Amino acid sequence: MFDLTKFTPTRKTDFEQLARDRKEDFEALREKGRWPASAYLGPYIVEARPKFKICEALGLERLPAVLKTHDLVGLVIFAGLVGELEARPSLYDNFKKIADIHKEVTSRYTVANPSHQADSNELNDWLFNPNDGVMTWLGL
Amino acid sequence: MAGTMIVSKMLLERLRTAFRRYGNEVLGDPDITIDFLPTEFEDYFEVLITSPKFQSMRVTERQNSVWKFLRAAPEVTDKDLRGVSRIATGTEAVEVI
Repeated sequence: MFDLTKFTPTRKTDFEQLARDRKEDFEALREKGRWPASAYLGPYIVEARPKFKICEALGLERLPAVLKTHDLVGLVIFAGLVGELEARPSLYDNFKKIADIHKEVTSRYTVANPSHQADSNELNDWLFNPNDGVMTWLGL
Repeated sequence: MAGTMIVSKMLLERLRTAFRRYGNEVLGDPDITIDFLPTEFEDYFEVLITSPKFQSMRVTERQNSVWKFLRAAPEVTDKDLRGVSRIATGTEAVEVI
């Protein structure tokens, strides 16, 4: 049974900063051509932002511990954003592609190969495309 | 831990038909396997599709390919796809318990 009154030690402002930090890490890895590592790290940019948004929506300084999850769909549901997301099919597709990469964690075990640049580039597009990029939508 | 999946059988059949067509028309694999898996949220589910033909495709290429196909597939609507929380792709069939 979950204890609904427990909170994570990570603060709302930390999650906000984490999303920015992971974005900088993602960009630094891409600049160095560390493609699989960038693809592994990229989805964490998404994970941090809804956690910040949940705290913001609930007026909390810390995230409820029951939401200490890597489940991106679950986080978006609790952030109250799923209706908005589902109303934009291209955005939602990008979100689900990222959710798959995040859950598979294949990049964690992938030996670096120049061909993986295309994977990193596509993830970058799903994240930051000005029209339907997930982080463009989540406001980063 | 995964929970209960409450989804219309007709929806799953429509999706299965679309994925079979994807296997045939895009991958050239009539034996693609399709499994639906529950998530923590009963209205949402995951799909695992498996084909050795995926071996020649990059991870993100698979995702772009399958989502592009589904959005254009006449068998399913945008509303049908809302419950699909992710589509995992594999190259070796495994038994889903």
